[in-house]
Amino acid sequence: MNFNSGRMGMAEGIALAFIVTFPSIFLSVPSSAVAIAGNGGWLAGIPAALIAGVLMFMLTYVFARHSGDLLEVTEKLLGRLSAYVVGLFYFGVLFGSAILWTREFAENTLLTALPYAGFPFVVACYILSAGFLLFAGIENICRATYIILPFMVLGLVLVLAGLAPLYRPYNLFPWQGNGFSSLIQPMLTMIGLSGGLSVLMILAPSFQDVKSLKGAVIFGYGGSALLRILSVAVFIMVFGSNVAREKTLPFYEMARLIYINRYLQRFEALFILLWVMVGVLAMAISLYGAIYITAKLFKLPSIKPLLPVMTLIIAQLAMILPDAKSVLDLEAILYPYVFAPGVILIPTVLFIATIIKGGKKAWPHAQL
Amino acid sequence: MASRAVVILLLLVLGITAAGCNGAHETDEVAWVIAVGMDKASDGDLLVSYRVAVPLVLAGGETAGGAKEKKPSTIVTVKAPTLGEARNLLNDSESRSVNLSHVTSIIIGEDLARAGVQDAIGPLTRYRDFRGSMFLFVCRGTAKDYLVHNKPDLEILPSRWVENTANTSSETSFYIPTNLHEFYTRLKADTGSPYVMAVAVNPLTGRDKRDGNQVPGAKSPEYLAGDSPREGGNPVEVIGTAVFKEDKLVGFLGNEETRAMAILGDNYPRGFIAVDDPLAPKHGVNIFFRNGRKPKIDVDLGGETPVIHISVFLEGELSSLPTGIMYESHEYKPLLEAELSSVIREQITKMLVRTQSWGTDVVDFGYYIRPKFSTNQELVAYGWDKRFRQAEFQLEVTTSIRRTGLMNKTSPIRRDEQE
Repeated sequence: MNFNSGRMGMAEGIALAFIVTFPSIFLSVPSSAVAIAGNGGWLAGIPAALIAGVLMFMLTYVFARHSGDLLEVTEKLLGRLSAYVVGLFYFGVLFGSAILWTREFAENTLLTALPYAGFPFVVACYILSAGFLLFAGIENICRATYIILPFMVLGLVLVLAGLAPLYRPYNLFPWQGNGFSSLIQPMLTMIGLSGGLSVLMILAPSFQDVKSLKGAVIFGYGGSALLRILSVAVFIMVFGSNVAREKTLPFYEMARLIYINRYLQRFEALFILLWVMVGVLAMAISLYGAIYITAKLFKLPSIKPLLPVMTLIIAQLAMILPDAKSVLDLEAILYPYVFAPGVILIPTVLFIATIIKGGKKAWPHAQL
Repeated sequence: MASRAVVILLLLVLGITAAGCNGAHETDEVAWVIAVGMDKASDGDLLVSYRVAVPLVLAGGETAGGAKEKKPSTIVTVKAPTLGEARNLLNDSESRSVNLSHVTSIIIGEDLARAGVQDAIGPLTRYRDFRGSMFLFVCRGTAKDYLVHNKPDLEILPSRWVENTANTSSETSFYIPTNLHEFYTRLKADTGSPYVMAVAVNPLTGRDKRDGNQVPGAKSPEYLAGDSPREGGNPVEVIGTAVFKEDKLVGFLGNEETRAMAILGDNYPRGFIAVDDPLAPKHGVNIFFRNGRKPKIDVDLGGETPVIHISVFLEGELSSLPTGIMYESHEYKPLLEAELSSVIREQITKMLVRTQSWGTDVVDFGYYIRPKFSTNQELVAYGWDKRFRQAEFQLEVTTSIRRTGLMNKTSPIRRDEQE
């Protein structure tokens, strides 16, 4: 493995954009949104998706005019120091997400599927799986993700459809929930969670053309956002906001409720596998992004030697927080108040700089 | 070479882990609990009764050995301050590891339900073993009595009886299947009152013990669980509804009140009713009927007190017409339709009056006011529970008898005029 990340098209881009933004639906993000915004919690996903989509389109505009990855383009437009700052920020987003996801998926596995397993053992399983996946290369991970993507989407749609008898549509009313102002924090959280999309721009040189990047944003991120918004709406319709806010694992709880008849129930057993796969793939991709940025910032010739070190650090950091609630509390600060401002600011600044400084059409890249 | 070693290592790990899961037990090492009953002990503790399956009997292994009398399940009752402690004590009495993930029903004794189920329900939604799809009952009497006397003739396992009973509720709607999810969401919701199925042990004496007065025009009386005039069969019966205010049981609704609830909740797929023959009241007419469409419910919040407008449309099929009166004809059919409408309207009114006096919105009319508010704060400030007690009902029931069964007219029985 070196800086060459292969050659990727729209399919890989879609898979990548989908998988790095989707894990939140399997975690506590939906119930946190409902806890703050009440039954209007599902609405927060709409402006968040629109804003994150627009920001990504602004970045594709930048990359259509400047060749290179995110750090190289930032250096060209804003100088070396800015490139360092941007690099450190996105390193924080990706590394932080990988740590939080490792811990949360491990906790959730202990809570649901493997209650008797040791905590370090489960953490190790997750992060080692992600690490081993990275040995196959990011291009292969994206292709594998694209293959399992239809099954993920189908599985999710089946869960939502299976719950149809329990829908109570008026649970979505009063439509403003706890008021418009209460939507701001969940919205910022979701924008912060879209920071993982930066991997697309880090891997920009690997994409065949800007159309692939745009396709990845529209279909990958758009599809992910649509399913997430729909899932939160269904979650509220089924549980009502007062119960929905209590849940640690909304998706698991939804899958558990499906009761078609005595022979067709306990669907969550299948869906635990689904969210484990999504979690490991998302961790692997975030880890790749973090390692790539580290190698670039420190001008390392290859990223391969960093892999075991970073994997070990993530495992250790994931186990530092004393309990599961502390992870959720940290997440409630990091995503809306630390990650979201940067996720909004950086693409905006790069976009403005491109407009001011201009640039020629710079695609396809000649790096490969 | 290194990558090959990694692949081999991975395959070895996969080979070991794919053969089972961490902490797994063989099925013959597990005591599968299929029902849990909870009663209030005299000192405030819980009396928890577990019905534990005996898989060997179900598999037929024991019968071959001559132990034909062995039961497919056994009941163990322990006294403990909480469900978790009760489980510990159960585990101490069983040689196998106790597993509650196959519990299909939770039964709460009347005393405990009246005292409040907050402490008992707590672990049910938080702990992984319990599922939202578990059926919930309140027993008139004790939960232990229910478990001991539940001896279904048609099923080997009482858990199968529970599932079949819940699935066949649509035949009459004399009870509405309620699971833990439905009960818990209502318990926590801003509007609506929780309720569960009512169950009781019938003495099987055949004695007719009616609940209150019959509504005018109805042939069939109201029964609470355990009171139906019956001899033979399973001593346990599910009839009616146990209604809660907050987490406390406030009363039981009978079979017809429960059907009225089901009609308003659009949960009434079919059922028979016997009404007086409008022109020969000593005879009864049987009608097979159902909701013709979803009831229209609108709550007018414009005045001091809310006005709840309800419009129910029923469609029916004649299933028994003993007199020779031509109710199949356009001339007489409206009389019968009006009779059915009147009976159902009276039964719905009876149910509404009773639940309103308890301050329990079992139909969840409050659900329909949600779109009338912009924010939750406004909804909560409106105070639905208090307003519901003063609400006025405008109820309209109409019926259309669409089919006359396999006969389109009734010829009179020949009578000897000399006699």
